[in-house]
Amino acid sequence: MIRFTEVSKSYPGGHDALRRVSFEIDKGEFVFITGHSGAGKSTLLRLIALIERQSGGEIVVNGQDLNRIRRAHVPYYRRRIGFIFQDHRLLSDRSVFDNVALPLTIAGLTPHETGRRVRAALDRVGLLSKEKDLPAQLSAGEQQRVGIARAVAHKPDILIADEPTGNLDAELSRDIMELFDLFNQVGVTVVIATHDLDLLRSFGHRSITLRAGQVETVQELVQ
Amino acid sequence: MTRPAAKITPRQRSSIGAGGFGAWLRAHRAAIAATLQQSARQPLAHALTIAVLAVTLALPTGLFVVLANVERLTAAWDANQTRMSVFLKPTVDDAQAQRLAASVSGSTGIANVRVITRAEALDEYRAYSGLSEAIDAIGGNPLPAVLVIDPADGADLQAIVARLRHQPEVDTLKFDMEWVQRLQAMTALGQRAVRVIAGVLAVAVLLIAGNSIRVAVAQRREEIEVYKLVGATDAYIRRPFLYTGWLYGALGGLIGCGVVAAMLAGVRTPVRQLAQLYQSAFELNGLTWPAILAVMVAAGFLGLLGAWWTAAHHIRRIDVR
Repeated sequence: MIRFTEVSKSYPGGHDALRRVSFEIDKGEFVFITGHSGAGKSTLLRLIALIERQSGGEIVVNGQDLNRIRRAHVPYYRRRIGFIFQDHRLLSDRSVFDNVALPLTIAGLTPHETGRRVRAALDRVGLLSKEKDLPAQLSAGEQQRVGIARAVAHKPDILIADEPTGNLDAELSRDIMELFDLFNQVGVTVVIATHDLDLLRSFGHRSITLRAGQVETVQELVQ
Repeated sequence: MTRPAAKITPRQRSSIGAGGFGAWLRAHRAAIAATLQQSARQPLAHALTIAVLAVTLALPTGLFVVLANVERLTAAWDANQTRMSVFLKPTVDDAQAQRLAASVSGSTGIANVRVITRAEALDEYRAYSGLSEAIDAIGGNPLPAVLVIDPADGADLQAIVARLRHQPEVDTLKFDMEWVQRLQAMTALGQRAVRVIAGVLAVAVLLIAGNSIRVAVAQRREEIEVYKLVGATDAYIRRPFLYTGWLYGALGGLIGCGVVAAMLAGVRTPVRQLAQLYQSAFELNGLTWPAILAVMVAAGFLGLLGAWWTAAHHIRRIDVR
């Protein structure tokens, strides 16, 4: 599903965020990307979402070589990925419903179909009753769940999350992770960057550890 | 197209949605709704931009209206372009003037002669100059009688002028044609000046609309990032800004026309009185609805162009952080 071959990313000024990184993630797999801050976790995810372009090497997602996706086609590519940030990035002046509906409206779905899918997504994350609220009226955990609902409303093939539990306490973090597990069980490929090792250990998934821009270890199904 | 495009099949493109006309229509409806929401959220900023555009557009629109009226006026004068005014000596009384008029109208090459008696001249002057008290103070009537002569078509003007100049009663003789020629020359110059001014102000409208849109894009940067993250194309994000630019121009044009109409209403009565002074039934022509529509269309286009120019550039540069 996602294959990195000798991928490097360096920024102007000479900082190498990733150095010759290679790994493969299968379709329907749940993988943690871990490592210290600055190890290159975020960069790796941003390359998958085409927020940034690699400096060298090859990234193939869903059979597509990302280097060959032209700028004009990036939006269409992103519609098949769900991306979740630590700071959820909700639009503060729109209701929960409108936030979750955004990717669907952009994709041109009918209002009827949009409504159906938004409510299904909100139901999954347990926030159906809050669809009319503004993000600021919700707790941090609820806001993150709205972000997840927005990322899954358009039924993406791949779900990418960058420190999705970074602002949450242990219990809320577990809830969020269980939610990702749920989506993974219906076939979505999930890639989560986190430095929360305790949390990581309690879920039995493969983890790729980065250190200074390189793959340090790949651990299979830590329990 | 040196690099082969990535293969994105229609199925992949529409993996989560409908394409086609319905989606296109919904996208535009969403853009219009977004435009109106933005306007409702920042009414003052929008009103200010529209006011600036209205003032900017009122100037060329007003100048065009004035010019159109002057052209109409001089065109009307063309019909009897050789009318001449013969000012008689102050010592010539009204009866002598009438006798001279009768003799002139009988001579060859003269189509029509009208006498403005000294009394009539004084009455008009009193009515419109606002100097009636000064005239009363002078006492008596300082104004001469005037013969207004329309030569017949094809008449020998030189001969008529020579003959009239030899009449002892005649003081000076004026071809109104000279005035018309001067006015027409000035009109031609005015036309050119108005076109230049209109061109400069069109650029101003472009810049004003473009700059307002640039500020709006910058203010909504975070929102645009989120849109890009969930797969919005630049065109989708740009659309509400283009509608806003168009709306700025069109509304600015409409209000600018309103300003011009108000100014015209203010001078309509004085113009009519001035025209009566010249025995003319000239009425100031205002803005017609087609003209207003034309201003709105042109200004709307300029607003759209200005918005496109900046929005395209600035939205392209924003991406997810």
